[in-house]
Amino acid sequence: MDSQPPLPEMHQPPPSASAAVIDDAAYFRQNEARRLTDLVTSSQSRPLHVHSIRIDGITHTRSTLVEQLVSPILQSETLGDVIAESREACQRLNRLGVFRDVAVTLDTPPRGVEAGGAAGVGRELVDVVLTVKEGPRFYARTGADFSNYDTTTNITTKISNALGGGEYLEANASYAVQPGVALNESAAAFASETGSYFQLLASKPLLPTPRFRRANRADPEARIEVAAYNTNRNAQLHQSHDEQTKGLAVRYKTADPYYGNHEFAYDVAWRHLHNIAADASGSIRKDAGHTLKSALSHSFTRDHRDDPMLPTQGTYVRVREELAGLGGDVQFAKGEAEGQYIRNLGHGFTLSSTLRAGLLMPLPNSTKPIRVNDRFVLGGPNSVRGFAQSGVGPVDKKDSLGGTAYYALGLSLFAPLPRLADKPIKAHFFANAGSLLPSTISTSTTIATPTPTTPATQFSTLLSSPPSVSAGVGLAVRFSILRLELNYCLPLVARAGDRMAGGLQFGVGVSYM
Amino acid sequence: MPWVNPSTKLQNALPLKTHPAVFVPAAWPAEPAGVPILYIFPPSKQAITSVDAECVKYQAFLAFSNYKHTIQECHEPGMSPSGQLPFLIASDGRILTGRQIVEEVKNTAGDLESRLTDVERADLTSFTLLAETKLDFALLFTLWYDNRIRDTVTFPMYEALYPWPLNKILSRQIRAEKTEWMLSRKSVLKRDEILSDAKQALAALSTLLGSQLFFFGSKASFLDAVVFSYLHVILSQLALPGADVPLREAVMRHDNLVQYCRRVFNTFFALT
Repeated sequence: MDSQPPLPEMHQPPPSASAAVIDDAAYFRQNEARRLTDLVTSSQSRPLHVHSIRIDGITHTRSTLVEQLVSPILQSETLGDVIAESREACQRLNRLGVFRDVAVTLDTPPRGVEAGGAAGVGRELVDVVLTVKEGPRFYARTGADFSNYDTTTNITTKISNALGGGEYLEANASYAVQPGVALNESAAAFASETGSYFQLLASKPLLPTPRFRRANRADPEARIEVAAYNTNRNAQLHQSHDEQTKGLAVRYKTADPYYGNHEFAYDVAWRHLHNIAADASGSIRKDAGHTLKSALSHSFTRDHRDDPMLPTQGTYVRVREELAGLGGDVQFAKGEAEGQYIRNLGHGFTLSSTLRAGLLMPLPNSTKPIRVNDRFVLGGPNSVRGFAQSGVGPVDKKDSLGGTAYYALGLSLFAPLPRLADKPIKAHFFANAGSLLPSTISTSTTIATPTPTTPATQFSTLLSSPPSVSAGVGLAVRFSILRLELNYCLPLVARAGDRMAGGLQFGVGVSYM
Repeated sequence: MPWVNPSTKLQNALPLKTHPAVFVPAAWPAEPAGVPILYIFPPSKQAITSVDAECVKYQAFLAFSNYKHTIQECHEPGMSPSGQLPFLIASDGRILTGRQIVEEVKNTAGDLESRLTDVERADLTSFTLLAETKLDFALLFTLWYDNRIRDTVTFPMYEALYPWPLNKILSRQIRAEKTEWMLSRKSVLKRDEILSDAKQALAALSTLLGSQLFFFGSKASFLDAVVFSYLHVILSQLALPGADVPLREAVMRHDNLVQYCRRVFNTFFALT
């Protein structure tokens, strides 16, 4: 009983704060389950060898691949091994993303087998039967999404398991319209189309060779993707231009629910800034034309929140770095980070704090200026509330120019509403602050002489200059895939040029401060 | 007593602290205020005239009119409101293209054609049209469909502007646009027909010029800007060592046109 191999440790979800009352039936079921577990646990070290593995239900998947994934089961020596390895094998099969259902059955081999076994008489043998069910190979979905300034209709078609090894091919198309602008702006100069997006994606799982008694967790789930995309973005409203991007990307992604997800990508993008508005500012007009960005990037995301849309506790970290300039005519290094800490205060109260920061630097020997489509923007219902979309930071006439260094802080208190304590709707009190600076700070209209900036000087300028601040109160509602907010916002501190949006502000989105 | 939204009242009642702007955009154009700027496709290394005929045309017109301005290089037609170079930023900040430039210059620097008779004005219009159709077409065709010119002049000119491989894509894209434009004018592009049209136009222009200083006497007109722009680009851009470019040869046959072109260039665009 002592030398048994430990069962793979599972990550338990944090114990729920509100313990449910256990009724008698549930108590009985729990007892029964425990009895079974005890039985299995107590017989774990019982010697047992696998006679055969049978896999039922495979039609399109390559059988050699499946065989390889389940082969470590054959090395089992005890019942514990058989159970643990079968479970691991099921997980590996699930990682392929092609099976809807994987189940394991242990069976006694047909009579007469043990007698003919050459390996030794008296060995106990077992047959492992894996029953799998392949998911549909062809998949199509149409839908509608909403964000702050537009509604998007999209269509996705996907051929999964294209080559029998979990590879999939996917085509996404989406088309966004701006109903608010179309209805409210009398000027027909704004096209109501805000953007379109098309992507072709081929994705392949990268499977490590499975080994006996090695947990799957040791090798994070990984995929490699190749994508070609074409996007049209309408930035007429705040930046007086349209941007078309055509690109090719290769991405390597790993996913681990505990340690976080990494993505390494190489992206070549041909960007075209066009359709400059007649009344566009000179700063935007100067950036018109074609650029080629060739960039390496890495991003890391770790989401330990209990609910990404309206969390009650947990942490969230996202870091992204990008280096552009391996060929092409765009050269910069960019880093961005976001952290969120959410604390449950009890009685349905939640305190959420968010910090975001970013820095964009031209490469040391680069003469190319950083363009508007690479710079950061700040402000709006999803970042610094109480300001218009991209309304914080440098402006020229009516255009938000974006900046090269920013930080933003958010503190939100969510409180339960009377009679609605168990519904995903909360009262929301917030305070936001943020500052976005251009690379060259000029306070007069004379030509700014670009002074060489280092990350340290940029950050010290950023921290020493007062931020734009707002506070307010409102409602936050969680829907399945997004959060809606309606806030009454009061800008408290602003800079000349900031576009404020005091009063009621409506927010739709998936990522909030 | 006008009704005030209580929300607005509340917003106004609460204090809002305002700091000075973090960034005041540099005046654009970043030049001494009040001097108009002509944005042109970049010139070749040895000259201040653009390699693009349309840009040379306006450069010449501004020079003839004695319109005070500065030149900025720009290779992005997207910067121009019309999507085409050149464009002019007037002293009051308006951005003008094409005919608007002509009007602006006439209004501020005086009309070059005020002294012309009605007959001369009619000639000016018809000969301008002749040059802008026949010579323009022949030049465009030679630039994109004469293999030697295309490979040694036109493609390198556009490909130098962008990084690889974008330059290959964009130069082909420009060629496709130009081809489409030419096909919208002529259903079939015949080398001989285009060249003979140009030759006729050149002969007519040569006759009109005669031995005068400019097409209409001793003062330049818009027609001079137009003809000079094509002649100059043909003579300077289409010069290939050891190869005869038919369009250039056709110009070379008219001595007075060649002399005229050289004289105008030396008078208005010689580097000092």
